[in-house]
Amino acid sequence: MPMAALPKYLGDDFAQASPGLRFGMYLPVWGKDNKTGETLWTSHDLNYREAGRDRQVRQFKDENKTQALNQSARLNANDRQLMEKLAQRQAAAASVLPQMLSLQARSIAPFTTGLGNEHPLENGFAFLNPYGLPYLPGSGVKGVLRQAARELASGDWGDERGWNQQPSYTLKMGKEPVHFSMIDALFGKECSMGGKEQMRGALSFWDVIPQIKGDRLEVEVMTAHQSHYYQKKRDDRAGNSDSPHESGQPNPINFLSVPPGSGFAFHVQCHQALLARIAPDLAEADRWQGLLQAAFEHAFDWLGFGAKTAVGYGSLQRDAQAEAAMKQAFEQIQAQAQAQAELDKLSDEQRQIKELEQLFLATKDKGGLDAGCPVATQRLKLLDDALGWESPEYRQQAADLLRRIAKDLPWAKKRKQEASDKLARLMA
Amino acid sequence: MFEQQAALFLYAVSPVHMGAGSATGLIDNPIQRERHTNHPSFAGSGIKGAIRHAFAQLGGEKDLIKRLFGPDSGSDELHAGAVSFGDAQLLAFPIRSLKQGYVYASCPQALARAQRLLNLVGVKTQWTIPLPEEGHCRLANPALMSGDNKLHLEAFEYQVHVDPVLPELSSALAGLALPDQPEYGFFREKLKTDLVLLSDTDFAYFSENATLVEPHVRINEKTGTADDGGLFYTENLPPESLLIAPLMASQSRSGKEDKLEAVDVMMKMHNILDGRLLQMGGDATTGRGLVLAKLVGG
Repeated sequence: MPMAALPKYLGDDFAQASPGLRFGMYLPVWGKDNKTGETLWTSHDLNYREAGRDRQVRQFKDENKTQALNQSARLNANDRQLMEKLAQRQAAAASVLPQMLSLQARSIAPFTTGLGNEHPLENGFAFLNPYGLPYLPGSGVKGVLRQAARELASGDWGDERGWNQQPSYTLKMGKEPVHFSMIDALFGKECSMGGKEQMRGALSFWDVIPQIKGDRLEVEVMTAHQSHYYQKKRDDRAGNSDSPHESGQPNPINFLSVPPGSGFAFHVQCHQALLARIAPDLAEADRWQGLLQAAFEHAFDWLGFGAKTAVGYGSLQRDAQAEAAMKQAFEQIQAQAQAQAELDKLSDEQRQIKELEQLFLATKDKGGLDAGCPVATQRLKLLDDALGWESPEYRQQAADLLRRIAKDLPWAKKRKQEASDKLARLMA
Repeated sequence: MFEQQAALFLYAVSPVHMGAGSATGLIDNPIQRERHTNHPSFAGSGIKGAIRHAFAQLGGEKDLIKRLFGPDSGSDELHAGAVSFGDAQLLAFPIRSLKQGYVYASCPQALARAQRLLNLVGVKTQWTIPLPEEGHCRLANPALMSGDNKLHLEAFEYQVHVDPVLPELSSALAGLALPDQPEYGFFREKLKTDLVLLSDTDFAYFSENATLVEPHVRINEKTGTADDGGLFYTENLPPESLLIAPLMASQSRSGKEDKLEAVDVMMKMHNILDGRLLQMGGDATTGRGLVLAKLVGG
């Protein structure tokens, strides 16, 4: 059994930890020599089995990588909840800010990022601390979008969709005027070390928390066949040569990815005041939004996000359905909050009347009005309570509502008589 | 004289990089820290600059900026601004835990300083702050524990004392510190249930070693591969960290325009800050430094 490099007191049940923690710290990958019991600090176990024609016991190196990655790839209920709440918080925060462009996309290929991070299994992965959930940092989004803008502006893709590389804007910095293009205005201008022409771009790109489809990340394999050549390592099994050839030893490498069909929400904020100062025509009528949408579409179709985009990873597709759903969900939250705020403002009497009215209308819509339904019992309660109220205004309001309900509610004759007697007293 | 005082809660919703300049350690771009506790902090000047910068965007009137924050340096008409921001101190810090994803950790020192600040600005709090020993902790949510009264944070183990008064403290804190919009409800509830009190020493360890360090590479636009020498590491305060800073207000002192009384100055700050999303610190254009502000008292 491989183990994690951890103190014994942590045990070996990490099912409730986040994927990031299981991948980064609790990874049970360190192998054992199953004859001596010695910990090897390699990613394989040493096992001993009979093999070969002569049925001799031989030593086998059994890799633990795949199994270890698989156990770190699961998302538990807590992770899923956190992932959703983070996205909702972002969307809600973005929706109240002016000068925001929010886009929803769905992945149509696996997505992976952070493969260059240090990790004992060669390839890392980008998990955001403290959640331990995969993320695409804002810097990754910004880099891809800048490249998309550059490609569109180059004209090599046909329609430039409004982008160009002309240094059509000027800003005075120190003594010299500096010329820059719309790409510089939106994404910032970099210059060589020591230069003074640096400028921040008007756009800010937020982190993306992928909404993972299903309940796990995928474990994928890439197999390098030419590692003897890349690493200049001579090996007898690979022909004792470090030139590229077809008989190298395949070297499978496992890594994590976010499965296709996952949701990606992009939020981009524009510093309107800055843009209006440096490139007024882009700020006018939100022209930057159209440009950026074109760049997003180009990036979705041609560039991809994250790592390994050259082999198709990170391809996304705009998801109009999700955009509508997000808008609707947000409006619902707002409406609920508003309704609650209104209820909070009311007096106890008004609230009781209001609550019954809402219940009545909702039940009526569903066609569920009958003698035993909650509306009927609540109605009797209001009738009794209202008889004890002092304010004639509230008594009147209660009586009006009760009469409205009485019209729609089927009654037993005797009860109806009782109720209307009480109602008469309420009005008196 | 500053006649009005309030406390500004800052709750990070994205990594925050309040940079401390160049580094001597392993990290290329470290964050600001207090000299004596070594806790991460935000310098008052950084907070003031960020709010001044965003003032108009947050709905403040542009021509008030000079009166409230003071004139630009090099201006002919020099006068003091009417608001003063102190340094933000760390109050709660998220730590990855074996169960429930992460916890909000705090310590007696951080809580007592926050309480002192709140009381000084006239927000009366009567928290009973327990004093856990090193290697021990106080918490209220049993779902965080493993087995026999143990709490596991990253790879460390703490002896748990379930503390029934802690929810009172954490609820008070969550009520004060987090805006009450519904989208923050989940995190407000988590702060209430999953607050863990560590000893000052243990808390200091995490606040020093459990920050968020992000690697950056530069992709060469021509080759499409990572540029040589383009790899650097940037430290960030992790999202879900909570800090508190003092804010003071005086009457405006420009001498020219209509005078604003301290109460009005504080009212303006309430209007632009309460429940709002601010951006502080570096790397704004890559989504760093998003914090929720809540102003209490004053």
